[in-house]
Amino acid sequence: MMAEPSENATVFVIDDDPTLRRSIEFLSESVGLKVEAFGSGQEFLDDADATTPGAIVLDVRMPGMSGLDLLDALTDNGFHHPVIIITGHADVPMAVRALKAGATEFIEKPFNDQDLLDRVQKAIEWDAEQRVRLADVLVVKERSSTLTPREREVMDLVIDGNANKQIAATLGLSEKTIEVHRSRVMRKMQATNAADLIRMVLESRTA
Amino acid sequence: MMEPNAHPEFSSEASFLRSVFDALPSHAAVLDGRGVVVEVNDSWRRFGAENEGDTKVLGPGVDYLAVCDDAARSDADGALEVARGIRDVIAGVRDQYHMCYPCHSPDEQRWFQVRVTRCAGLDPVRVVVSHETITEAQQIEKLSRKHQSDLAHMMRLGTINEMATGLAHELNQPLAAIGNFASGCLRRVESGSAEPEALREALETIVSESRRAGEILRRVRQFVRKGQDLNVRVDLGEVVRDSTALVNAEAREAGVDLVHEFASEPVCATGDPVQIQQVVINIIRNAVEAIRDAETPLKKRRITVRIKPDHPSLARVDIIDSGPGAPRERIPVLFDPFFTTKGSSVSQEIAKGTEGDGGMGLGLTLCRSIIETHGGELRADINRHGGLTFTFTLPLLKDTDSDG
Repeated sequence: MMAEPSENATVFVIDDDPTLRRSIEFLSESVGLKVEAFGSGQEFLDDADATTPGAIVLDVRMPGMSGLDLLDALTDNGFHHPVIIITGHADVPMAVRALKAGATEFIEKPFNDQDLLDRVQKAIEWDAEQRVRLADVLVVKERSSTLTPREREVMDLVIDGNANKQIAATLGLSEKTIEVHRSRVMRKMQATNAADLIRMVLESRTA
Repeated sequence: MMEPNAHPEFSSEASFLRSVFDALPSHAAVLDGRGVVVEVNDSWRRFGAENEGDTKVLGPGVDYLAVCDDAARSDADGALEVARGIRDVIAGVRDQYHMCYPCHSPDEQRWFQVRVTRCAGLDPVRVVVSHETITEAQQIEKLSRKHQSDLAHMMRLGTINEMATGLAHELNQPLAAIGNFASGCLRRVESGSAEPEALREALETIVSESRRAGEILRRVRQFVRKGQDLNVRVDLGEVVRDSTALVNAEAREAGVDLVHEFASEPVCATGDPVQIQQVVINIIRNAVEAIRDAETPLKKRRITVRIKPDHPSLARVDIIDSGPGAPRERIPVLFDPFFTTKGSSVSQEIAKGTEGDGGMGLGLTLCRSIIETHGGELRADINRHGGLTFTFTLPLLKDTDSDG
């Protein structure tokens, strides 16, 4: 599934060097990206809106809260955005720590501007897909919460690939009754057919 | 005063004194109250014969002050000084005057010291002018300065080697910014969305950032230049700014604030700016390392460099850190070779190699000898609220001195 990045997808640039920060802002704006720039990790955590879609571009080497410290703090503060780490010299222990903390990409300075923009675009698309997927999951979960326990049993057996006859046997009910439950499940879950139901439920479980 | 019969084995007191006077290795002349030569010794005569080829020129009867004044008018800078010194001693403004000066012959570098001494208790006034060769002492000093300068150069290379990562970062910042702004401009031009104001901002920054990169390279190049052992006017504020620019990346990474507190007027000394810079960099880097290793709280990580004239004739630079400091008994040995404030054993420290000198533990020792060679002092003190302050002084160059 391909998701279009939303209108207000934003590149969050976090770099303590004001000139470099401004230059990334300038570059990103030149391809029509929205940018919000911050001089420190703390400033970002204090002022940025975690619900705004987009991507984070982060200099690993900053005084005070380092880029890696910020990475560790992102999830706790509700930020699930993809993170592109800018580094002067990526050494292995740092890379390992960053990847564990959830960095999506590394980019070494001095970097190719196209390279940076490509990664930012990709990150924004990934973020948009994530958000759509997350929204789908929420919808599916909400729908399934309206099912009765019996309907849920029937749905689980449908998803496991059982025919009505088998389900009736398993639950000790008549095939007629199963058909009624089954059509209620399909209506409540807004599934067009069994395959559609299986897809949406499995997707919501793996997300 | 001689007793009349002190040396009965000689025909007269006068001949005894005469031959003692002639035996002196210094080239000596006695002048009267007007500066006219009344007597010269053999060494004086011999030197005159060897060098001027005309012994009569500076023999008895010659107005030595006039000769000095003439020389001052033609070329020799020192001659004016010497004439002033002789006049001062004759006038009784001072009892003694001395000055070192070069006097190279075509095939040899030579240095001399001239001394003017007033003869005690004589009336009318007599002063002795003597010239002594100090070439050998000068050469030894020159050689020792050269060794120090070579060692200092070697250690600067070591320091730059250690700072390479940080310096690369310092260069990467402007280069990355230049790339981003330039590419941003291109994209705007290509897409037809180029606003003149936006382009202007970007281009201006490109210009200033390329200067910033150039400045870093200039500073590195200057710092690793082979020792020239200069003796020039040094603006200490400039030296400190150049120094902090080079250590900025390391300080930044350690979360240390570098603060300048300069006197409102420039404070100047004379010497080799690169060597003084080396002292500043060495002390700041030690402090950064001490603060980082002690895990000082982030908000307290600070190094202040303060420059002020220290009345009446000294320039003073304080480098004040907020690090862990050192026990009082270790302060005097900080400057000993192979001493370190960190770790328990010297050999560990050498193995770690953290002193800008390939781990030899010579950093502060060299700093002190550089400052002392410049006629100043380097010392360390414990701050009242923690950390150390390194202070060095240098003879203050006043604005009126700068032409000399």
